[in-house]
Amino acid sequence: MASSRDTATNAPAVRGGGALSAPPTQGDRKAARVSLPLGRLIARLRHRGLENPLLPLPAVLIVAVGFFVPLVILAVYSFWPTVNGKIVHDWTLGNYTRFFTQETYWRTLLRSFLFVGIASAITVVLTFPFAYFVATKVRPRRRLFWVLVAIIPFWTSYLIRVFAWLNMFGDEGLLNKALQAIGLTSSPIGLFGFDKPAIVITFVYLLFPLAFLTIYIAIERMNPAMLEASADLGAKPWRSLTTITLPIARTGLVAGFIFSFISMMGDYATPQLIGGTNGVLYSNLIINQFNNSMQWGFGATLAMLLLVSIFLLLVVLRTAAGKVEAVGEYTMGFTHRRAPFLLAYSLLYLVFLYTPPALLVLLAFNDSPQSGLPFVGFTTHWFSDVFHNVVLVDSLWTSVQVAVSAVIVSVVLGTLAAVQISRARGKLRGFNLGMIAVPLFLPPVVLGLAIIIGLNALGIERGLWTIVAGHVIITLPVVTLMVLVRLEGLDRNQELAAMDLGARPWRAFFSISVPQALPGIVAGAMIAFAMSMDEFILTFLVTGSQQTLPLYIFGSLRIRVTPDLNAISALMLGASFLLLTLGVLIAIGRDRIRRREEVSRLPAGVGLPS
Amino acid sequence: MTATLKCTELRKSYPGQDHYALGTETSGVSFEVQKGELFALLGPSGCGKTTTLRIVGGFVEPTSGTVEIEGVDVTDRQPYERPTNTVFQSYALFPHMRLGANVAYGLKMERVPRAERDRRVKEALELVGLAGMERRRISELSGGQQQRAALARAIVKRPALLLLDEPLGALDLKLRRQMQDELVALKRSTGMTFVHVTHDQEEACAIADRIAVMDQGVIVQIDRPEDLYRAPRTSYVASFIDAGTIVRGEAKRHSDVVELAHPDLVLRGTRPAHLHDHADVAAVLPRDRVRVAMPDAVPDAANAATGTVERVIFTGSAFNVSVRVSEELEIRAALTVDEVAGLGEEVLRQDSRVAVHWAPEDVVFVQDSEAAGQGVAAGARV
Repeated sequence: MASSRDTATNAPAVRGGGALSAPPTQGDRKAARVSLPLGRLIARLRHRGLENPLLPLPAVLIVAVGFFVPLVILAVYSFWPTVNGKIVHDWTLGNYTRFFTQETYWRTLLRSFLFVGIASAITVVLTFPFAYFVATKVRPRRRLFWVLVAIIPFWTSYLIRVFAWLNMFGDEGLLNKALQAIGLTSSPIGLFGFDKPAIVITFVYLLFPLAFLTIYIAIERMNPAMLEASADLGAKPWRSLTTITLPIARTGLVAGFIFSFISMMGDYATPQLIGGTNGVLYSNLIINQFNNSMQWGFGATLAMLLLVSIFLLLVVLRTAAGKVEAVGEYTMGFTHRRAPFLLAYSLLYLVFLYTPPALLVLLAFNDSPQSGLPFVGFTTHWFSDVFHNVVLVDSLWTSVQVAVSAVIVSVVLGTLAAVQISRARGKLRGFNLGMIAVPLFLPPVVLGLAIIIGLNALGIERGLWTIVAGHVIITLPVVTLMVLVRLEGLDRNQELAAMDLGARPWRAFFSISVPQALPGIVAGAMIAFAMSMDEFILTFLVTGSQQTLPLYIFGSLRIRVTPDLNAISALMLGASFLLLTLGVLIAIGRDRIRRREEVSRLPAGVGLPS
Repeated sequence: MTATLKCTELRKSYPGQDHYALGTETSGVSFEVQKGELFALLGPSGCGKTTTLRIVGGFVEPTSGTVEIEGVDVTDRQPYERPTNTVFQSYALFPHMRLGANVAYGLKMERVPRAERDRRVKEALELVGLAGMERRRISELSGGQQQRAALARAIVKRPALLLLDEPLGALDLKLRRQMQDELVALKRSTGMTFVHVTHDQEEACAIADRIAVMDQGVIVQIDRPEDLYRAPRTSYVASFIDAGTIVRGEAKRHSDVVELAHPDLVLRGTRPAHLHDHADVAAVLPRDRVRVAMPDAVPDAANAATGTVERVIFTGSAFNVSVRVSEELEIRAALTVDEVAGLGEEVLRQDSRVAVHWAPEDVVFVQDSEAAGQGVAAGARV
């Protein structure tokens, strides 16, 4: 890169490599930048190698075109009225006036915020002890196992997890059947309604793995010596928790709350499935404007108001949470201490996590024409039914096509972006990172609506590719961030060492950094695949006539709960489990082998604390 | 007088490991630290010194043995119930609190009233040279300042015992020397009792009143620094503190004299009291007691050897000369600048022939820890 600069500056004659010449002064650089013709600019960019600022461009463009452009159109639509089901290009504030003058709308928004806020808070509070246990009381070597056990349910279909709870608490569910059997009640008690506790339980259940991961990561990166120091200075465990652990982990707690809040706020399917017609959260209200009433302008207004309120909430929470600065490097010491209560709590939580899917698998083998208990006999014919169901097999195939395409696009573009971002500093880095990450912070329901309005405005037909594009926008930030975290954890000196030994930058990157970042890439790809296979909220909106598996399941759940749904669910559970285990084995296998080699090379006793 | 710290027969083993991390089957770690003493635990990494310190601080539970502080058995007490404070290797400063809050933390836990708290924090910060920096963020402090902050946080509670876990390891040489001096000054001004863990024998000698040298989970010798150099008990100690040249050979023991025969020379000297009849014996020729002369000018041929100069290292205060006597034996001598001037530059030239000589009373006989079937190495296995 120095050689290209030398030609543009009046640097003294260069002997041997350009890299050895004196660095140009600030003035030289400025002059060069101004007078650079396009051809030379391109040549210069080519020489930037891994630091080439063009690398994140495709990813940023995808988000810009697929996210911000539709969002702008959505904003424009919110100022247009709908007359006889047709949007009229006539600027007005009427949609907004309607929202604030008709009580139902703003009340629903407030009520939904309150409800979702409470449910998210419960999720975070209940998750914290478990995350704390895994991050501080479990031996480092066993932590991965606990983390996997906790997040495996996250890899199973969202809708199926809702369905599993219907099996427990629904009108035909386990609890009602039991109550009726022992004669406590003659008709099913409606546990699932908008104002009933069951919906909170279901949401907590659905969001637990997500909240767990964010909180766990925040606690785990805390220096364990910090807790020893506070104990050393006289703090009892409870005081250590309130004065050290919670303040340091607070950003993680807030992040867990935010993610729970956003996914719950944008989820119109769960309230619809378990709350029936009563299950009206704000997101249902938005969807209704597009489904039945064809009030696109007003729907856009409702979506915009949701965006604005979530943005305000984010700002408030960010300000309240503040920033925790990491200090220094530390050795990861670990001293085992028993924590019987935390252990009991954690085991209980796992039971809570695994009971619904276990029941689901059990019911899949139940030889009864109705989905539910009692268990009358063992059969596998529900499973063979699944494979003879042409519609279902077709929708599965569609889902796989979408997921594979979305994964390939987001892994390639996400990795390219992460490579440059991990090396960049300053404003451009912040901009790129922000652009790519922003879809994480907005509910997919808004994204879906923005996309269909955008397509509609531009007169583009919906189809399979719109589903893929929508999925890429959702998975790209996840893949990019996971690869980025991995790349930033690497010691850059290793690459410099490779270059010192004669490797060119790309060669050094592929032979040194890629193998080490592979677990991040594989994990990112797996998560992207699982997310895409499971995506319903967005897909439901952006699909043309295509049916993915979640769409099929949603349709069936809405009509009638049949036993073959149990069988599909059990199969999907099994498949997710296999995929996850495989991915993890691939991802950590390398690490494991390397670590074992390192350990066997060390002389005895060195691995112990001295 | 009751010792400030008394450790008795401490042992630690971890589940799934086939040997003790600390102690052996036959003996545990025992030592006493007196009030106002600066006691150093010295040894290579993995020798058990940090484990010992962590047991004293209450962070690790010993498998067996007891810890008494000021006559009270604290073995089963939690860290927050012990009158000890620790300066952690990683400092473990709380990043979400400012410097003042970090130092005040321990006093807050003790419910010390606000006014007194502020006064003591101010005092402690003055003592470590961070006066007036209460409002600084931890991330705004340099490495040396963080080290001082950790020290202030630990001494502000006036612990009966201050534990230091390699606190100077991350500092550069100049800063480390400065902090060593300040630790000694702090000890003098506060009268506090210190237990200091380090792997740096120069640091231990520079600041400690007494040093316990550890090897593979056991203490092999406890002595004042000068005694450690003058009279190491085992070849391990001698080589770890770099006391001099170690010579191995056939030993004959008489009641008060030892004679050690090496193919190239015979060493005779006083038998130390601790050297029992069955121990393997090695001899140490202290570097600063070995003299160099021209081959024809040796005063006492019985206590001398001739060889060629292999290499010379100038340390700033002395020339360390290595003289190769034979294939197996290389004897090292430290010569002052004046001595070199007296002998002539010839003596520093590589391959020049010189003689080394010593007085019989300067030869130190030690137990040979490397001999087969002997020493702690074999005993450490369970």
